[in-house]
Amino acid sequence: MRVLVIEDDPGLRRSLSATLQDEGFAVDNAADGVEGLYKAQEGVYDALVLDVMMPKLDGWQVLERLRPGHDVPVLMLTARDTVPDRIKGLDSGADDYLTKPFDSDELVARLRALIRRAAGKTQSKIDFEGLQLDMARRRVTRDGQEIELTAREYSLLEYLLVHRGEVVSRSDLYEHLFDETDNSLSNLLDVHVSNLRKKLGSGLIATRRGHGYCIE
Amino acid sequence: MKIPFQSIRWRIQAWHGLILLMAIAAFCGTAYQLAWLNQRGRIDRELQKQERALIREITDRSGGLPSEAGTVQNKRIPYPQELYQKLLSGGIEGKDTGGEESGEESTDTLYYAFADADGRVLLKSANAPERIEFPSFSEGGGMLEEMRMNGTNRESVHSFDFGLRSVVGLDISADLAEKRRFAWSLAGSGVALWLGGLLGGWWLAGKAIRPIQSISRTASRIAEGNLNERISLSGKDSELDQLSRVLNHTFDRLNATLEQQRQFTADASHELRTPLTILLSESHRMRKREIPRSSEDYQESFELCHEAAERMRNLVESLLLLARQDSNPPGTEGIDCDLATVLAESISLIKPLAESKGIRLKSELPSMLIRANPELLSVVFNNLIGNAVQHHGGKGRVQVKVEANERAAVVRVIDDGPGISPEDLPRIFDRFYRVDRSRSDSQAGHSGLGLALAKAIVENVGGRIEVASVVGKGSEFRVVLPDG
Repeated sequence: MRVLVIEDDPGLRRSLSATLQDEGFAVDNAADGVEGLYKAQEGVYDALVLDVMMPKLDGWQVLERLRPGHDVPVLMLTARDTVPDRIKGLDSGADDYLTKPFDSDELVARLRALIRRAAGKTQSKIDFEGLQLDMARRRVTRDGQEIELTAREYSLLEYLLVHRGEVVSRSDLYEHLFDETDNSLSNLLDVHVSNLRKKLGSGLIATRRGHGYCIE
Repeated sequence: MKIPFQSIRWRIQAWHGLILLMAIAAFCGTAYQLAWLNQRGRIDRELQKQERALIREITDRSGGLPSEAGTVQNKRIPYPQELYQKLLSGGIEGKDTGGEESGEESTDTLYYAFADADGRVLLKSANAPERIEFPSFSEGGGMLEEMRMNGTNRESVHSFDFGLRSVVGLDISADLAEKRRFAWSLAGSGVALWLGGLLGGWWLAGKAIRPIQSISRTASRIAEGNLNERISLSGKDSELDQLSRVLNHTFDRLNATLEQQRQFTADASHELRTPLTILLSESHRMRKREIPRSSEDYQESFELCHEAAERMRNLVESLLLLARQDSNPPGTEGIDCDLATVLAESISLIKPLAESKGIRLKSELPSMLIRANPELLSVVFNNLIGNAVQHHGGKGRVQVKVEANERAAVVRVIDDGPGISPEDLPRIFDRFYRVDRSRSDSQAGHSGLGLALAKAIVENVGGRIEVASVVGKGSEFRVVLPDG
């Protein structure tokens, strides 16, 4: 899951990125509204974390300019917590709303719920041929036995399972699982896929040559 | 309106009613008096005319016996005297009354009585009242004349020095009845006028008071919290309009102050929330055991936490200082201190940062004694010099000069940095206003209160702070401090 954090405060930006990375997200950063808007329009993100009070373009303005063309879920962060502020946030196209100071667990949970809803799933658990994926706890079990996966392997499996039945292209996977500092030309993806096949059995993930990967 | 007589409308009404009543009563009384005097005068003239005619008639009628009154042959003596002599001689009683009654229709209510000096009745008409009071006789006092009322009769009373006393009267009960009717009609129209006046006054007082009620209603709505409402003006520039304008102006200022306060609180809480969020999120992140961490991770996280805590400390200190400036009356506490010493300390504090950015800090500091709080002054200069250095792009210079003006010390902080844009310039002393947030945020501990604080401190010692700036060329801050 790839997330863009648009936050002007450098300390908070660093802390948010670290928290989300710890939870297995691929995280990009933007230091102000203009940069954030550019990245949000150019890149592919599963969700946006958007601060309201920012120089140049504030959160509302970013949202306003982004909304017609992009329906990426947006979680707004703000220091203002009056009811009119919340209503304004939700009315102007934000999908969720958190007031500073917030609990980082809550931020992560809300972000996951947003991404899940945007993908059309409302359950946080996926059952597939004896394989159980718990998105809240980021764990995979087969018949009650936990399978140890790295964060990247888990993210890859989760993405394929959420989009099961569809062919997911390599560039899609790069866009959603890796942040802008990773080199998309490397063969990291192949390594992760082969590791997953070793741990889960080779029949689960099918390769469509020239198209991508698929779980059917 | 609970106690009606306390209200202005009732009091206006009461005074108005009282004054109107007095005016109407005085007018009616005068009119009544004048009318009666006029009528009585007419009656009196009529009575006197008839009296003279009567005396002449009685005297002449008895003139048929001239033999007995031999003294009055060749020379005519006045009628009353002649009558008196004839009466004393006692020859003219009986016939008179009869002739009198049938003779003239106009005198059918006229009655008369004559008496001598001792009060003996010499002649009396039949229709005269039982008791007739004759005037007391005064010897040698000439003629005594008097008009008087006797019951419903008007009497003309004469007393002559030769002895005759006469009373001639007229029954005027018809006139008296008319006088009573006139009094009643006057009283009636007076009361009607008064009631009409009361009604008009009540209406007028109500009309005059209605704007006040509207003002008080609006004011109480505003007091209940609807701070955006204003009293509507009639546009006539009346006293009430002036009052409304004063009130509206007061409400505007109150509202602006409240709004400012609200904005300040919101900004302060916003500034506090961000570092608080960092503290919470970092401590939470580091507490999780399942992710293996290197010591660098911990180091970095602690640095973040420390920075956040420092920011909060600076902000809280600035807020406290600002609050103290706001609550202190101007010109309190101060000791004699040397401006040069205070400035030198500030400069030495900022020197390392300036050197790291390649900025030369030049200063001209002649010794100058002023009366102020040196700690607060150093807050001002730390802010001004610190700003000049921090917002400077690097490679340049910042000058600090002290100059003596007449009755004032002027501290000038001049830099050749990027300058401040004209749209930002008026607002840089506002609390939490930042010219370029993204830049100043990169320097931890910037609260956005520095210049606001400097301004508050300088103004509290009776000084002022000025700024001039050209974009691309630099800025100059001038602090003018009063001497002594």
